[in-house]
Amino acid sequence: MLEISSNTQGDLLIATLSGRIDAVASKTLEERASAWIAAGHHHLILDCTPLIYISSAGLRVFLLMAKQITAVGGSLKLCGITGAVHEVFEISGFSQLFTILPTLDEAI
Amino acid sequence: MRRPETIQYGLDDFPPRHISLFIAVQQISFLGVYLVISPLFGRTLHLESGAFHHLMAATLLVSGVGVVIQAAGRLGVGSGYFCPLQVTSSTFPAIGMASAAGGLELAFGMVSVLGLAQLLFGELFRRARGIFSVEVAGVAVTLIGIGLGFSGLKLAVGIDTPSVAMAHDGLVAVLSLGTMIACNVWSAGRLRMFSAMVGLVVGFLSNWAIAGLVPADLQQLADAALFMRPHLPAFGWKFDPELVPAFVVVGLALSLHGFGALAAAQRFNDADWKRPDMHQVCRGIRAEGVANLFAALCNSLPLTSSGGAVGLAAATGCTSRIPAYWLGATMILFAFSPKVIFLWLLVPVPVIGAAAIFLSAFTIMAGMQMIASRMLDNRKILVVGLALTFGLSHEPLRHFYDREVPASLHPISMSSVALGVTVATLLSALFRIGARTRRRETFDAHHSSMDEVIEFLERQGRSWGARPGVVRRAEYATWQAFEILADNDLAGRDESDTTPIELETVFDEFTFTVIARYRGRAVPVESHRPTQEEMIADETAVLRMAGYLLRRLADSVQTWDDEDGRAELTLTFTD
Repeated sequence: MLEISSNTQGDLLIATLSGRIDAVASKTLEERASAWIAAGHHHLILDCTPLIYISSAGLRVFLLMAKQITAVGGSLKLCGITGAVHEVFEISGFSQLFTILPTLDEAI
Repeated sequence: MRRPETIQYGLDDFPPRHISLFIAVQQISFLGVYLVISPLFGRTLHLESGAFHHLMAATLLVSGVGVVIQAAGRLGVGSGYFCPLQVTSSTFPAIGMASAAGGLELAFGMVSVLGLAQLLFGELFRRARGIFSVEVAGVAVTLIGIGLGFSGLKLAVGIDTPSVAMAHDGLVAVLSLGTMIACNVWSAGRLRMFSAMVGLVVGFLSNWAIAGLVPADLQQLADAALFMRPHLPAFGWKFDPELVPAFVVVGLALSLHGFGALAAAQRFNDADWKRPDMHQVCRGIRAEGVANLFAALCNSLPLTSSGGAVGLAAATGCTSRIPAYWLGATMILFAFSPKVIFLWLLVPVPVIGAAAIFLSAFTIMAGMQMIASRMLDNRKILVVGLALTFGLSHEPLRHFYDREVPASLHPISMSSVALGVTVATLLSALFRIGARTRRRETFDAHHSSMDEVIEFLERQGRSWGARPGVVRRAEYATWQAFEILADNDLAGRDESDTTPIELETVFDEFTFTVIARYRGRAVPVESHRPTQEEMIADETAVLRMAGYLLRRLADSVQTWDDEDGRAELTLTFTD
C-alpha cells in the first residue's frame, strides 16, 4: 500500500511517499508523476522518509520520472531514504543516479 | 573481528612497553582489592601473620600464571583474551566448610576438585552452546556490571569492607570517581587510557591529605621484608570424597562467572560481535580450571575471571593481550616481596570502590547492548527478565538465601552472577522444549499481503533471537520474490484460482533461511544489474533487476525447478 501526499512551495512540488512501492503501487506513482509534470511542476522533491519498501518495478518508475523531468529542464531530488530502502538504492546503483539528501529541509 | 572505535589498542595490537607496564600497574591496583579479601578471609580462619603472607603470595603467584595462560591461549588452554583472574568471596563458604572439617590442607586439596570440575564444565558449555545464547551472555555481563557497581558502592561507603569505615571515605571516593570520569570523558589519548590509575592516585593522595597514614600500617610496611621466597605449599593437601559435590557446585558457579567475563571480553573486542564464541569460552574456562589446579598445588585461594578487570581494559581503551604478560610478571614479582604487597594494600578501599563504580557503567552497557542486539520472543523475554530479577535479588535477599538455600548450593546463591546465570541457563534449556527450528506456512502470491509475510518472518525471528537487521533483509527479499513470482507468472495458479507459495523458515546458530516452494518456473537470479538505459527501454530489465536485488539482499540464493512443475527458491541470510 502506497500513500502519496503532495504540496507545493513556489515552483517546487514536494511529494511524500508513505508505505510500499510494489508493482501495483508503482503504476499509481507513475501516473501521478506524469500528471504533476504535465501540470507544469518541473521541480520535484520526493520525501521517502515514511517509505519502507521499494521493488525493482518502483525503481524503474523513479528512472522514468527522472527522464521526463530532465527532458523539460526540471530537477528531481530524493530525501529521507533510510534502512532497507537505502540498502536497495545502494545495491541497485540508484544512489549514484539521483540527488539524495538526508532530510527534507536540506532538499528544499 | 573489527576493533571498536573506543579501543585504542585492540586484542592483537602491541602497545609500547611503557604503556603495557602502566596498564599492568593500573590493573594490579584495581585487582588489589580482591587480594585484600585474602587477609580478610585469613582473619576469619584465624591465620597468623606469616600464614597470611604465604596465602597472599601464593594467590598472587597463581593469579600471575593464570592471566598469562588465559592470554596465551596455547595447547587448547586459554581464550587468548586479556582476562585477569581474581579471588571471589563466593568460594569462601565451601572453603570454610572444608577447613572446619579437616583444616586448611583439606580446603586446598578440595580446590583441585573445583579445578577439575571447571575443565569438565568448560567442555559441557561448549557442547551446549545452543543454551548459552546471546541473551544468556548479555544477562551474565549485565549482572557482572551491576555486581561490580554494588560492590563498589559498598566499598565506597564502608559496608562489608576489610577495614573500618571512616567519616571521610565518601569524600575520597567521590574525588577519586570524579577524577576517573573527568579523565575518561573530557580527555583523550594517554590520560583517558590511565583514567582509572589517575583516579586511584588522586584518591590515595586525598586520603593521605585528609587522614594521613595510619602509624600501624607504616610500621607493618617497615617491618615487612623486601624479598622473601613464598613457602609453597604452606598448608598441604588432604581429600574428602564427601565434600566433592560442594566443590563441584563451586566449580559450576565459577564457570558461569567465567562465561560472563569471557563473553564481555569478546564483546569489548569486536564492534561486529554477534554471539558468544563458545569454543573460546571453553578454552577460557579450561584455563581457569588449570589455574585452580595450580592454586590447589600452591595452596592459593581459588580464582575466577575478573569481569571488572575486563571492564577496566575496555573503559581505558586497551584490550590488547600484551599487558597480560606484564601483569602476570608483575604479580609474580610481587609474590616475592612482602613489602610491596603491604604497600599495595595501603590503597584506601573507598578508592577501589570508586574504580568499581566507574567500571560498572561500561560493563552494564555492554550487557544491555548484547541483550538488545537480538529480537526477543516471550521465551527469551522470560529468560532475561527472570534471570535479572534473581540476580538482582542476591543483595536484598542475601540473608534469606543464606537461611533457606541448602548449604551445598551457597556458592551459587552467594553470587549475583552465578545465581542469575544459573536461572538464565536453566530457563534457556527448558524453553528449548517445543522450540522448533523449522516452520512452514502457505501464502497466496496474489492475495496474501506483505504484512502477513512480514508477521510470519518476524515471529520466527523473535523465536530464534535473530538480529533485527537480518530479519529485515529476509522480509525485503522474500516480498521481492513474491512480486517476481506473481507479476511474471512464474508461479502457477491451482484449480481454486490461487497461487500457493509455501514458505519454510529454517534457523540454525549462524543462518536464517527462507525457502519458497511453488508450482511453476525457477526465479531467474542475475549476477549483473541492468543498466539505466535498459531499465527505461526494456520492461524485462525490471525482472532482471529484481533477480539482482534478490541475489544481493540474501547472502546466498539457490533456485531450481523440475519437469513436474515444482520449483523452489532458497534465500539464506547469515546471522
